[in-house]
Amino acid sequence: MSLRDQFGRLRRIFLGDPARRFAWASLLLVGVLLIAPTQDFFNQWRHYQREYRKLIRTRPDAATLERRTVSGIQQIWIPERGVVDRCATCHLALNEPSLADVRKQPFRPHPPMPHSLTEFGCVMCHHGQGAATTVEEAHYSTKAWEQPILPARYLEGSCGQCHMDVLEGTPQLNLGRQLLARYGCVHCHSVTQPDGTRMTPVDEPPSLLHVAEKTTREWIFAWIKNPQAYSATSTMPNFRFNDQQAADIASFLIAQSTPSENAQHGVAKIPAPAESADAAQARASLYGTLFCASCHAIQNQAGNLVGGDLAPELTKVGSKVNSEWLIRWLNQPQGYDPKTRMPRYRFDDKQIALLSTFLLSKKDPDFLANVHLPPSDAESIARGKTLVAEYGCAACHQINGVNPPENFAPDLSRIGSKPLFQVGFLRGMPETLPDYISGKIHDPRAFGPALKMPQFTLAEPQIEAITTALLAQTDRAVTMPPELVRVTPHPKYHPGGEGGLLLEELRCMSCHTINGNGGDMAPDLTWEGSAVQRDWLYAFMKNPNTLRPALIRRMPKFNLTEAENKTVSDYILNGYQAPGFNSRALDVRTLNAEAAVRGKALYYTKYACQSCHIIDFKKDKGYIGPPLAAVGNRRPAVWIYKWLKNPQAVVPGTTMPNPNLSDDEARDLTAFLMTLKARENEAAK
Amino acid sequence: MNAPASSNPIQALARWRDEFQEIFAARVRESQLGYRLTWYLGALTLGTFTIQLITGILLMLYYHPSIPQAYADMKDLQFVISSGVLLRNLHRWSAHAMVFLVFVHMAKVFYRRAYRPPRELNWVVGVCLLLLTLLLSYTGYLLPWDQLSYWGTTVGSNIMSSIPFIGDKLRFTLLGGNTVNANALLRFYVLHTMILPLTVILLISIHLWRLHEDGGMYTVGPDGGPVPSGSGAPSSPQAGRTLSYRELLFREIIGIEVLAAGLILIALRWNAPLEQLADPLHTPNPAKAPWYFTGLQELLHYFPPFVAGIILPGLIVLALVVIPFFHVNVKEENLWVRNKSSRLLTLGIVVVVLSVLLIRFHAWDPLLPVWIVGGFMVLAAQSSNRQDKGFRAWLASKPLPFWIMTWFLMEAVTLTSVGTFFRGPGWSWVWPWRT
Amino acid sequence: MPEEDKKESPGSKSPELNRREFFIKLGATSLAVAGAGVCVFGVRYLSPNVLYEPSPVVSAGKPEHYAANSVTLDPRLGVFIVRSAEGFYALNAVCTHLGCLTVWKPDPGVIACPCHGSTFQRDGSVIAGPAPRPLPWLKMWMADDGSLMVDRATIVPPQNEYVRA
Repeated sequence: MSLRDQFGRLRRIFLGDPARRFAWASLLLVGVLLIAPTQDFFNQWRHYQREYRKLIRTRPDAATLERRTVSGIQQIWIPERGVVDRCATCHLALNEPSLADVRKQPFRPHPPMPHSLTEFGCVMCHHGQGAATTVEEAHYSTKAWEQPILPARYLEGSCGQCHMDVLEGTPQLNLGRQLLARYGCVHCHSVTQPDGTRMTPVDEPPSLLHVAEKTTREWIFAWIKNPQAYSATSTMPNFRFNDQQAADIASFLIAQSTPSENAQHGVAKIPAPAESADAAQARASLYGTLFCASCHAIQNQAGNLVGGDLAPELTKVGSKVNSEWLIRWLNQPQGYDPKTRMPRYRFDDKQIALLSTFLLSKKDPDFLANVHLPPSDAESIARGKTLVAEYGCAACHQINGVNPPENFAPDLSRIGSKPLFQVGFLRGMPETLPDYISGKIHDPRAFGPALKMPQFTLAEPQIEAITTALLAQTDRAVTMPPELVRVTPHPKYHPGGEGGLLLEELRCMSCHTINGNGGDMAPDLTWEGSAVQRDWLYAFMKNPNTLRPALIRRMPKFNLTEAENKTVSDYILNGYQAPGFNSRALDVRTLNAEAAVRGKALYYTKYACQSCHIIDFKKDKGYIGPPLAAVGNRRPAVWIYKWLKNPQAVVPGTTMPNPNLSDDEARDLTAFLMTLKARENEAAK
Repeated sequence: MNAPASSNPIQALARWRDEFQEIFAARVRESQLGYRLTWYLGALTLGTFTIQLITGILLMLYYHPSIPQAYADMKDLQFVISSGVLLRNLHRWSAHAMVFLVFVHMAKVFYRRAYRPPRELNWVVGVCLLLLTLLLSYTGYLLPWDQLSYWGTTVGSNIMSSIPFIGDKLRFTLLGGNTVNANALLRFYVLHTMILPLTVILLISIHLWRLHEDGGMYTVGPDGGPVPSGSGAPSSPQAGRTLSYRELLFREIIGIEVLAAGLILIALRWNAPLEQLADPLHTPNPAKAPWYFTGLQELLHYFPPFVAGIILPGLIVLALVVIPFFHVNVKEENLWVRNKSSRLLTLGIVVVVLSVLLIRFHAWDPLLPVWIVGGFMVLAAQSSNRQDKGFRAWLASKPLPFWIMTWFLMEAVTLTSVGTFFRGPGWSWVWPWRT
Repeated sequence: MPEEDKKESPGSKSPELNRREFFIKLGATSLAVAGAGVCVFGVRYLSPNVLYEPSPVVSAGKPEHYAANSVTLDPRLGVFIVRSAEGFYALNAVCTHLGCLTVWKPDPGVIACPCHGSTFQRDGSVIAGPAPRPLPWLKMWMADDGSLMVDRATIVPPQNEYVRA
């Protein structure tokens, strides 16, 4: 029989007449209809629920786990937050800490966290599609859902949707926010935070109003071409200008410069620097003893940066600044730039001569060696002005004749919810939002040569941190009901009065925080008036070198006059008094000799304070806490008493453990500590 | 059918059975039982409509026509409701199948010339059913309230506002506002679930009733004239005839079963499209209409909205409606027997005018059918005096409406496939295999 | 589709005819099975797998919010929180007659239904009116955070358990 005949026979048997066709068609229909329940029975979430049951059967606490196991689709429904999360359908062990050793998803328990699952659901933090009950739809980007699961390394961004304060558990988010402010991102981009305020920059880019006084066209050219070649730590980004553009901008910046207030003052002649090794040593040691390194860094011979990052690096400052400008600046920085963070030291002429010579010697002869610019002309200046306007230089720097642009760069307030179809991904990059944001920070111009965003010099962890902080800027964050936004208000604080003016001039708040405002390099001074004794503060202001001599970054000496010193000290002592640090807390009359004897016993025997603190430098070995040899000079009795009662309450975050003293013990110990009045200089020897 | 004086349930049922038998002509020729004559297209269309009714009613039980709950309901259907996703898929794919079958049914009826008197009004009812089917699809398209539906509806409703004088008012009334919003969703819901289905049911009843009255399936007699299967032929009225409800209906049910099985398989394998929640601030690119409207969208790409969205479709509908009344050439006289040269000249002028018009609007793809059909007409004219029975003789025998309908169908197929497969972001030309 | 021989000869059915009947029966049975299956689908489809309903377990707040010997209607929960000498208990406030929400009348000290005038004691038992059953006691317990929890879906026998604050 031929194949064709066989086929014909088969066809007759199966489809020979309508009755057969009807039978087969009906059977086909039944068969097809059977597929649906089969599919449903073998669907993913049922599979995982079966797997989970298998898993818990092997556990020691199987009975408990089984009793708590649910079946069917589980749903967290929070109507007021628009949350419908069904993650717990497969993630069955979220609330089973006894399964902590299980590594296999979806059965890992959730690590301990400050929120309960029913409070916010899952998707608010983890993204993904909460309503989905399949692996693909719940976790990945699909046509019907763009936001895939947020990779764990960016998860802290979700905390930032409500929490605006610095949280202990979110170092990456904190760093990212700090970098957004410090690298000046928010000069150009506006970022509205959950409480409705805009993120503010903290980098304070220098004013260019009088820049011609300070430096040369060549230096500006070289700087613009590559800021990091001058100072590796500079936060100024690289705009990738070509030579022509950089030269034009330099021409314009020099041309727009006007004389500063300082320029009206004459300049003392600096004697020609002595060329001996001793003289050089003297200049360097003055730089050291003035604690310039608290804020400024200089690269040492080994190539390591030594010093703080609050102010510009000075390694090549001699290639940059004009000597007359430097002298005027050291004399009165605020005369050049009223907004500078640099304090006005009261340097004498000798100090200025030494310092300026020292700084001018910090040169890199190669830096400007190859910079040969054609003379500036009107066309070049005009082109420069156009470039300055086009690239938004005035968004950061003050420039004569160019207004700061508004909304110069795209608003990033909702970048964390940017629809993916609006995103132009690069060929080959993973098409997710975190990858886009980090890619954009990593190499902005890769997304189009015509884009203006400059190249920042950031390490990978920094880029990741910034990405995390930007991912916090979701639609949810912006529309978060106020009762969910966690923020500590920071009212602006400016010290007032005569003392306040002096505090401003000395730029105390560049390093110290007062009432929630200011820098974080030095101790918070908000309650300082209750924490120190008058005589000690007075002496300290005159000569701050003595406290903690091992540190490089320390309080500088301001050369204050007696009157100035008194003004500042009185201002601090009277103005920054903590509530409750008064005689009602401790009657100082009870601090008698007998109490001191009892206190000494407590110190050495019962509480063994000497294991951390030093009183006698020859005998004691404890170095974890500060030495206490002169504490009776520095601290008021009330402060010591309160501190001993509860250190955390006085200085939150201190490493001092709470000794849980009774009132009497605390009083006796205070009495003993107040007897420790060694002269600090002597004690340190 | 006089009411009997007395009755019992068995008799009543028997009477009912007799009446239901008459839905189809009581008896058909055995030669008409095969699928070749109609491909059972009418019955299959009815089958898809039944599937739509059943699945639609079930879907209504979980659907809230409000924003954004409508979209959340889609997710629930997909993720948590037993068989929900199957029902939604089936509803969507069966809607596509229905549109497709209605088109093919119409073409088949046309080429079999089953619109000829006395069926001309039933043809018009059919055209109305075609339009209603498209409207049902269009209104149903908005209901999921995702990006696809929102922007598809926005594009569609903006075509309406290009009608002179009343367009804006009409659009405002249809949407219940100036944009596609909550009112529009509710109105489309009412249209989709109440007004249009009821109208369709009414028209289908008329369609079938007239079919029955006009003698059931249409066949051509030896003289080329219509021979309704139900009407008694002169010789041996019962010879070679069989009960239609037993045999024909039975076969059509088999067809419907196979179709249903096929649709269920498709619904199990492929999910109905669902994109993100509708976002009035972000237009997806490309914003494409469902496939049966991509032809229209392709036209909109070339012509002003008023022309592409109103005049051209209006002309097409008008042409479809007048076909049975305009059919002068009942005897299928060879088009090219008389006045061959002047007719060729007319053909040439029409082709040139159409080409110039299309080129003027840079509409390249609609040109193709114009030239192909024109070419075949010339070929037919060349073959007009052939006596053999080959393809060219067959071509030569075709009357004018055949050519016009063929041209229209080719345009529809060309524009639809170009719009569906060859258009990418910004409605730019893309090769489907390059994506 | 040439039909095979199917001349009807009454009385003796040909094997072909038998087969034909068999196939029709097979088809019809399958169709019936399919129909029944679809009905089962339908029923499963109609019973939702998730509910958008508030959880039956609700918090009634801290015990100190309730005065001693008081009956408090929480209209959000539809529950009376009663603080008696023995302790706390919860009553379903839905009248057992036709489902109206009852209220506490402090003056005569009864729970009264506004619809058809049923009145109840503070322990739920019927004083008067058409109500067929006493108001049911609901399961109540003290949560870890010290607030009273009520499970509105679980009825407990009356005068059985009291929650001590």
